[in-house]
Amino acid sequence: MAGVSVGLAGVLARIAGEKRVTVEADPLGEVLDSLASSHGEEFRDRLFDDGGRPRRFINIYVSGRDYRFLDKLEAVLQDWDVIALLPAVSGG
Amino acid sequence: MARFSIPGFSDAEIDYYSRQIVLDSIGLSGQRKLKDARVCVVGVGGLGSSIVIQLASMGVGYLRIVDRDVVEASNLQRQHLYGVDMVGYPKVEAAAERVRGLNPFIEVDPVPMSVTPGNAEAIVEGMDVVVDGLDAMTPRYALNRACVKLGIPYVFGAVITNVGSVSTIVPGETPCVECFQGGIADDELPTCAVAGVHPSIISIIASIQVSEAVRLIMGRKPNLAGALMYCDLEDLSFERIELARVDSCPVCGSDPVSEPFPLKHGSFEEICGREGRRVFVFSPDEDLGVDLEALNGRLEGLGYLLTVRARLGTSFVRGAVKGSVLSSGVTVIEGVDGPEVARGIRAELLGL
Repeated sequence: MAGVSVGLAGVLARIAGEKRVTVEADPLGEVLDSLASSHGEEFRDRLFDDGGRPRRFINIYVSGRDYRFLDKLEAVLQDWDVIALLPAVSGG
Repeated sequence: MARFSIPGFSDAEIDYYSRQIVLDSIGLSGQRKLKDARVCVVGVGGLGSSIVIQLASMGVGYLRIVDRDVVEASNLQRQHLYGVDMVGYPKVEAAAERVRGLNPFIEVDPVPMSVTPGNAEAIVEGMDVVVDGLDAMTPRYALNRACVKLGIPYVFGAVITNVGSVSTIVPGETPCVECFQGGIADDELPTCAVAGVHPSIISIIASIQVSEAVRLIMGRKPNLAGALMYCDLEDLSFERIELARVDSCPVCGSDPVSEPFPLKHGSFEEICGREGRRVFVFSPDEDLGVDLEALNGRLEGLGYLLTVRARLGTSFVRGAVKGSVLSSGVTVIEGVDGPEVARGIRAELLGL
């Protein structure tokens, strides 16, 4: 595949120093691993918990669908998929 | 003699709303829709303050405002409904008083309650639009489920530090909150008390929520129906994520995979400490109709100093213990060692 577009927001974008990256990987779990590998330990700590699972308060969308409703980290991606990683917000 | 003679509006109202009546997107017919609208704002903290001020001033005819807290000095930096003279007052009472001063042409209905899975439907029933001013996910899930079930549009909004999210849920048409931010326990998330919040992000998100609510009232499609807007004040960026409906969503899906996950339903909880002091909150599902005069007498008899005697609640202090009781029975006890002490104080105060 040619690679999927990943949008980063909030603290993830600040650590990465960019808001849009293209990642050549599949499935979703590989994309996240690739992002963590290329953006350093702080990024990895923000994205994954101690067990290596994505932190629950990071919303992960694959073309507008929360990955929890797909095959989670096994979700197979298409070139046209757009992934978004957004820290959940809940204060008021 | 009336200057304008416009059915349904006094001259004073026409003067008040004149800048909206000349606005293409509202006009006189839109002003009438606002006047006929019934809107519930749940939570009158940071977001809710800004939302209520705008909706009230714009002329929403019936505004129900729901909150369980009393005003604290630490609220005032961002919760612009309140002033220092209102510290200790139930927020909904202070808010209603401010609203009546802002706009005498509308009706405001203060509800001094917590939103719980047990009362969310009753709180929003009969409303045209519900606007989110909450500060935690569990009551949002309760509200989301009630709105989906009753078919009431719900404008979700949330803020923390310098960022905010907003989306509009139209039941049957768009994803619901649990399609795009479901299943998160509140203890996994930072709160404004710990992480802080910039008043400007609150105003931005609240204003978008108001704009969405007004579009719904006008009968226009909300701009964020089926989309999540994420705003970051740090670089003043707005990211828009187009959301897809989820057939398997347990709350709004056409083919749910499971029952909605259970929401914590306890009427008793320990919340974020204030200045290192433990804080316990009791939240009944129903309005208990506490006799505040009798409560005040009991408090004084027990040696408490009454710091605020309001119409919808009382605040008090005795040594290290501070607290408040609202007329609904919502009780906050602060500065005690543990839950059993808090329960004991509440039982003593309410004569349980």
